Amino acid sequence: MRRLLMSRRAVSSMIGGIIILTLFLSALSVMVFISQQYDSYQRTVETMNQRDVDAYSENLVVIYPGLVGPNVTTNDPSGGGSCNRNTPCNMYSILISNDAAIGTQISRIYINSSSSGCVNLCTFDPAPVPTPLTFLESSAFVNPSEFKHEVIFYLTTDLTFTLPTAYGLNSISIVTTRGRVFSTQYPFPPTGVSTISYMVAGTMKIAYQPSLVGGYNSANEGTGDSAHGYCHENPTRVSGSGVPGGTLYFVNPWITQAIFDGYGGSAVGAAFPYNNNKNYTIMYVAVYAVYPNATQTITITGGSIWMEATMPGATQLGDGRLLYLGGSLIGLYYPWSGGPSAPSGVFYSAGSSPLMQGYPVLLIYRITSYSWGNPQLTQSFSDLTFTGMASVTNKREDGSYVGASMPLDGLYIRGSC
Amino acid sequence: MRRIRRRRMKRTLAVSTVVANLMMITITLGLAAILIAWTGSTYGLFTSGSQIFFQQRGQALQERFTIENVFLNTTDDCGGQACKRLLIFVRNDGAEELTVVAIYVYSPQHALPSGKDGRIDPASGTCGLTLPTTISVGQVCEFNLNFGVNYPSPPLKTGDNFYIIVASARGNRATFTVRIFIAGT
Repeated sequence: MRRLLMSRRAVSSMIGGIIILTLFLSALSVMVFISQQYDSYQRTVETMNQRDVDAYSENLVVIYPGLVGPNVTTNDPSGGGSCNRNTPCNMYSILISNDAAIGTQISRIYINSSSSGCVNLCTFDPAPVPTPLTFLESSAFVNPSEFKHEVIFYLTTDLTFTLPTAYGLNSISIVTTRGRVFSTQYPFPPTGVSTISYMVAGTMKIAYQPSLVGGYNSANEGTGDSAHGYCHENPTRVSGSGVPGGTLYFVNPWITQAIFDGYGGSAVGAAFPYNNNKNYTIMYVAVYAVYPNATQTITITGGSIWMEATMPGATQLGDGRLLYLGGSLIGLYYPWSGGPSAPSGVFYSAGSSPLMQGYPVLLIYRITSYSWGNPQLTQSFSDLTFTGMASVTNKREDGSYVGASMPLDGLYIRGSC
Repeated sequence: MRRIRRRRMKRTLAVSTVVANLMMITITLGLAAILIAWTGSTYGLFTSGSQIFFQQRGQALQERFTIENVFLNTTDDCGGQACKRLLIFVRNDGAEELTVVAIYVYSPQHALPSGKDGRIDPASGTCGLTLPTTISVGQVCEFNLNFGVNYPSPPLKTGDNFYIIVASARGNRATFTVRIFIAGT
């Protein structure tokens, strides 16, 4: 034993072993530390992923009747708010449905109006008591799958929103604490026939060329014709030389796939009378139809759609060339039921299409060509990709879609001047 | 003969066995110490680097912010004249404090006022006048970009649009496209 202890034969091996062990342990400790860091990072990733999943699960929908009010309130039930007998408030409510299986906390509401109300953007933050430009904190949380949740908010009495009985648009954005923004428009845009359609934010404008409207020349309208509820702009703004003959301008269409997605319960495209020719593309848009006075009946007898680059916001190809879009009107639908003498779903061919004041119509155009300017080249429509702001969806007769987003503009604006 | 052998032996032995052992042990331990020190510093750098990396990545990942709304105010009073102000509402809905370092604005229809191209500083707002500015968790900031009285030419009209990018110090960004509406245009 003594010999074994006093032996020096394995000393160098032990020293080497200790050195190797030291290196190994230091490497191991570093690996353990880094794996802990990585685990912590992964936990963060998972947490944020879950947060994203929660955020994308949110789905708030403003439901009918949408914006309700105003109810002038002088009550301050808690005694601490600014709405009281001395300074009454306009109380509105928004009806919301939570279509998600997750609770949602509303953090702010933005409302921007085109005519009356919040012409300058209004922001509503939660408040415990009725105060102008706030919404009630107690109504901020919407339970999972809750239907018809009422969010109550307050304005000063000098601010009143446009109601469905008048023209104008309120853009409502509801922001949640998870960072989602749910936007809608009020009054709600009309929907198409048996399907969902939507409207691009903006103002409906339309102008009729004299030959289309039985002698009526929109260019002769005076400015600010409040008697008929619309304002007039000089047509030179459109093309620089008045309204070109045989041309119908309009702006901000809302898009519908009504016809092709099953009009009247028929198969796709079956009920549409112009679905057999595969050589052209049909573009369909909806506009508010207006006419100058209540006694005059307007009938669209024909016409064409043209996009010209001189129009505000017109499509340019990015290299200075200007885009033109050409096609002829083949008829219209009234997608909104209840229109006087214009039952929903009836197709009016061009030449027998009365326009009813204030009711939306679905104008059907046959787009046969497009070109860009100077020199103008005519190309196959199927090659076209539009860029712009107002969206138009086109569907070819073979069933494929042409994604299109194009600016349209016109002459008249309904609402305040 | 024996003397000659002893002399040869002495010539071949440079140091004694003890000294030789001591030297070898010293050299071995010295090299080992150097190796361990080098390994330790390398691992240390690696450790601290990875720690910073994961920490920064984690913070960047926890950073969430949204441009909630953008509004062009064309009727704001600037000394008796109507000026154009672009209001940008940015909310920090993440789990980390947010530092906004730049706001970029672009309009395809209108060149921005001189000196306002690209990155612009807010003229006023709820979160300070100059960038960078810090937004705490849950806070919403209104950045107010004043384009002045005469901007732009030709005048703004409905359908014009602005592209806005808000960039954070951690390299995240939020984008927003607004199509403006101006009554009567």
